[in-house]
Amino acid sequence: MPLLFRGAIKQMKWLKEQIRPWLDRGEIPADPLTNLTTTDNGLSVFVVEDDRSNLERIITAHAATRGKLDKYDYLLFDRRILSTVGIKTQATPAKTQDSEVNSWHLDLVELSGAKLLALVTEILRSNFETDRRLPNAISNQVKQAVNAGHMRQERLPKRLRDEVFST
Amino acid sequence: MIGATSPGENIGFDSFAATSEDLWRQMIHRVRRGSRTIRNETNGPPEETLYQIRQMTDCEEIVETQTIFVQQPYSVTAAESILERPLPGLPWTIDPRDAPNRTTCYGEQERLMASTVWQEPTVDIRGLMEVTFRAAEEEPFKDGMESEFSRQLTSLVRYYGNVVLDIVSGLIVFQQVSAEVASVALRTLGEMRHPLSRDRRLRLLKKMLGSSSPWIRDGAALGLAWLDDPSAIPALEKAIEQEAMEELRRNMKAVLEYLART
Repeated sequence: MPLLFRGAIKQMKWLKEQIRPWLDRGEIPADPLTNLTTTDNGLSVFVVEDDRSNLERIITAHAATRGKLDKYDYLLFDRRILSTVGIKTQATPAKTQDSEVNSWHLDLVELSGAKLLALVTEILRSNFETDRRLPNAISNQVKQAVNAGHMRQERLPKRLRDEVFST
Repeated sequence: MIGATSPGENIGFDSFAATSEDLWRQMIHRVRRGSRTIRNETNGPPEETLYQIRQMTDCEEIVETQTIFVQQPYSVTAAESILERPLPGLPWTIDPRDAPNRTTCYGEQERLMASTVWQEPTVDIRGLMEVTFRAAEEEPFKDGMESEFSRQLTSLVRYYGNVVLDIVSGLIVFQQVSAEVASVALRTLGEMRHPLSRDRRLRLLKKMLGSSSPWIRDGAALGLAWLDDPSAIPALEKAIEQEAMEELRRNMKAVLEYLART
């Protein structure tokens, strides 16, 4: 199943047990909707390989753009939802340090309020996934990425760099 | 203990302490030349030393010496009355060799010249906390970015000690703050470095694993991950057994695995 990745969500806004009662009465809760923040009517996502082989690299690259070490929550959903809802995409490179991850980036564009609502509704009705990486896992992954040459230590945000490489 | 001193000897901080504990010991032995001091466990450093210590508290383990302002002329009785109300986290003793001498008024507050002990005007800590938490309700929290609320809460705990934790506990238990703010508070309490309050913070986080709010349970688990204390493992195991939500159970298991690493 082709998947799309949306990072830096708040997993507590996507708890399935709390969402289910809303769906049962034909509605969706507002929290997931407000947790997908658009910019210029677009939403940034990454394309995940079918075997999820690039998932950790996406997580690491995106987490490494932040100011400090912290937990990292993300959302995975079926890419086919975009066709269902009629959402256009544009392949624009992301701005992480990892150039290969940047090439996996996609912008969902020309998002109207109605389309965003439809997108979230379809996501919530689907078998979406959320998951988390703890700060220590992010720290290890960033170190590995630097060692593998995917990122450069000196280009990391200062506090993050100090937190990751001083322990 | 580093370097026993005689009264009046000015140790100074000639070199930056290798560890926060060393700096702490230096503070204990610091005696201002020629001053009459109330010696306490931190040796009540004089004003300029206090300033030095504050400048050096990039070292996060250091608990800043409490500065208190007396509102009456110094006397042994006043000092003893201060001692009857120990400042949070700082045991105080009194050196019977020191004698009250004089006081000087500085603007709005009376401050002891001869003593390194001052008493703060009564501070409504609970009021401060409520204001801080109320402001947090408007703050857009983002993972990976330090929040103003986290900074303030950390400062409050460092300055006022465990009483802050009691207030936080009450605010959360009686649902006087939103679940998200409570969660951020718990994460902050786990992440901060403050040895004197560590045990209390650990107890609070373990307690909050049993909250009825998933946000709060999650925040508590994350706080325990930051605190990185394996003694939290039994509490986490129990919380996992009782956790009905799949995502939280998974998150707690990840924290448990982390704490149980050898």
